[in-house]
Amino acid sequence: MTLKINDLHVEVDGKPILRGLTLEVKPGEVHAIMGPNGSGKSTFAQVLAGSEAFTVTGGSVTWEGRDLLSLAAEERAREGLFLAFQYPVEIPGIHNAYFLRTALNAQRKHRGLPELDAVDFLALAKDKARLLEMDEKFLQRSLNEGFSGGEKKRNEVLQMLVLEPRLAVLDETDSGLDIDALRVVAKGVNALRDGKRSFIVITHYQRLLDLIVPDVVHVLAGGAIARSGDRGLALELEKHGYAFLGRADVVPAAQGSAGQGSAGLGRRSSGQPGAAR
Amino acid sequence: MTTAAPRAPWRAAFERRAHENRLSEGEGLPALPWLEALRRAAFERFVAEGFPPSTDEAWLSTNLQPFEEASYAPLPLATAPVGCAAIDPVLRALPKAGRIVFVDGRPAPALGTPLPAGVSVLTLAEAALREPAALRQALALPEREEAHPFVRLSTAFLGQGLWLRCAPGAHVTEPVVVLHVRTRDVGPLALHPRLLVEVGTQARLTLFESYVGLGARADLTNALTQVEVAAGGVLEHVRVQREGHGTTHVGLLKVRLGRDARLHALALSFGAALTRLETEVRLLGEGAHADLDGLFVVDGARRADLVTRVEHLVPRATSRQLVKGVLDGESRGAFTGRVRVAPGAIKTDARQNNHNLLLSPRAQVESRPQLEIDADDVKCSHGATIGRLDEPALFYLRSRGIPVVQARELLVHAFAAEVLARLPDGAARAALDLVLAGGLHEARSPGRAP
Repeated sequence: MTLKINDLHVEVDGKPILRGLTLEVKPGEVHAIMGPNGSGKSTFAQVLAGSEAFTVTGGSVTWEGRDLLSLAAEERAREGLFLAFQYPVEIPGIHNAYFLRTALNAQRKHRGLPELDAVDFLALAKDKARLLEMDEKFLQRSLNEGFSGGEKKRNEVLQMLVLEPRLAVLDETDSGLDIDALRVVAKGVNALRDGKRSFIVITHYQRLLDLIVPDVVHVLAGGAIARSGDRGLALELEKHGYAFLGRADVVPAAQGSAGQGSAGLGRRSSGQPGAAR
Repeated sequence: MTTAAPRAPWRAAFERRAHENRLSEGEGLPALPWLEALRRAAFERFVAEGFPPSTDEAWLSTNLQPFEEASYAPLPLATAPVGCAAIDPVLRALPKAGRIVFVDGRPAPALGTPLPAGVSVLTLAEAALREPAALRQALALPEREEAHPFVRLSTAFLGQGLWLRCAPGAHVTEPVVVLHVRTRDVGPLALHPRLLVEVGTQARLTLFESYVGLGARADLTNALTQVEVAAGGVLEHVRVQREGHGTTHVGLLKVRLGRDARLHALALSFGAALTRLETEVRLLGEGAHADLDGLFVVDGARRADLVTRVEHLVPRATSRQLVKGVLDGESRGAFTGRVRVAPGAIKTDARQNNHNLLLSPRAQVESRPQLEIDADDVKCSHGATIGRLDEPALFYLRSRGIPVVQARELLVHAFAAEVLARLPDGAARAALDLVLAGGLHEARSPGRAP
């Protein structure tokens, strides 16, 4: 259940965004990805989930040895990948509960499991909503339509809890949340941590990492991992910002990395043209 | 090249029709001199005017010339056995509805169910004998107004028709369904169903007209429905067109609304090769209100035109329109929405919205709002959009494991379903949602790349 990303290059409209991103996430690990705006964090998340808005120009992504990039978005989801969107899409006219049941049943069908009927599904969804302290009336509304920023993020985590992915990517799920909402979201994520499930948590803020404790922290800058380390790196960033990135090419990124999964992660950081931006 | 007698096949059919009526005792119209004169006059006007040329803007360059020389088979003498519930999801979902069924243009009373209390019905043949003066007046009305060749044909080929009445003050909760079924094995047929509807003062009625085709013959359905809603009356009117993909379907709904009368007309078009659904509303009494909603779904090389004409003739009447189009393949569609505010019709409030979804780069749609305002102190607005499926929304659904085909269907359904949302009757809404899901599914071209 290992995700291996090797030298990934991604463009949008001919403009390079990711320039040699290398990362390995082993089962059960939580990786935090931090980094300045525009460094490619959301692009990375979207590409992992299978967005066709980007062009992969080089490198590879394998998931349990399979070529993830050759799979359509829905196939990746059915293989157990989940992206909590930074900006969840509002879709008027699609009923939230119906949507989520359709998604769950598509995945269950793929795995040879019986589909859930409306009654059983609703019981499950309400159960998960309760864990997130989310009013179950949101299940009966149009998908994300008119939801506040925080409600949308909760709805993302609700979907994650229902779909029970094996690898979840959370793209700035904490931004725009107050401290109570943050705690609830973290509770949702931690409820899924079982030693086998992996997480990639993209965030700007150390405070989320107090609640979802990562095994490894990476700094993405200029389209590649500029530095990796343990939780201490996040604290350092909180204190000093990304100014230290100017020194990234003289400090080997792997140095100070505690997690096994980070072995070799910083390899590509030195000499990355965009690393010092 | 011109022929000596233009529209000769139509004349042959017209002469044959009088003969056919005599053959089918008790079904056809009685040979009353005024009726014959009305029919013949309409026919001669049709022959003189012909079909609009393909340059006629009102027909959006639809080529009607093939219809000049079209000829159709005679109506079958006996109706084929048909299981209605099996073919019409409207009926299936509205088990308590009172229904009247026609099969291949012939009444099929065995498939009907009793009409709800407060609703009565006469065939046109019965009406011609019992209430000739009233019928004569009603039938002549569309002829006097701005009329196109299909109105003339409707009168010329008047045959099977109904006069439906909802008694004053009657609040009829169960809907009435008039179902027209075309079977597979006969045809091509030209059918001209005529429906007269009267909703009495303070009465309420829900009426469905459903047109279902099981075959792919080059039929013509030319349906004309005339409605009169008296003061304070309320009519919910739903047309569902699910004809076979060889059919040309022309449907005209003409409504006259009295003081404080309300109409909610919903036109849904899924089938047929060529569809033109017109809705014409005359707001004749102050405080009258009309909601005109519509949806067309086309694919392949099919085309659909939805046309509305709203005539605000008195002060303080209101109208709302929401028309949507879903187009795939190389289909073409158009919405033409005319709103006229007559001199003196102050405090008119008329709004119109048209939204179109193109699922293929080769599909084309036109949106043509036409506002003619001859009064001061009125509110009139219109808005139109033409767009494609939202890629971020599609990705969002797919990222949850929903296959691309199903994700597209969900988005198209979400777009289209808005026109059903304003139906007050929950059972009717649920019924139409099933029809909608089926219609969208059938019309979706298979094998398109994501």
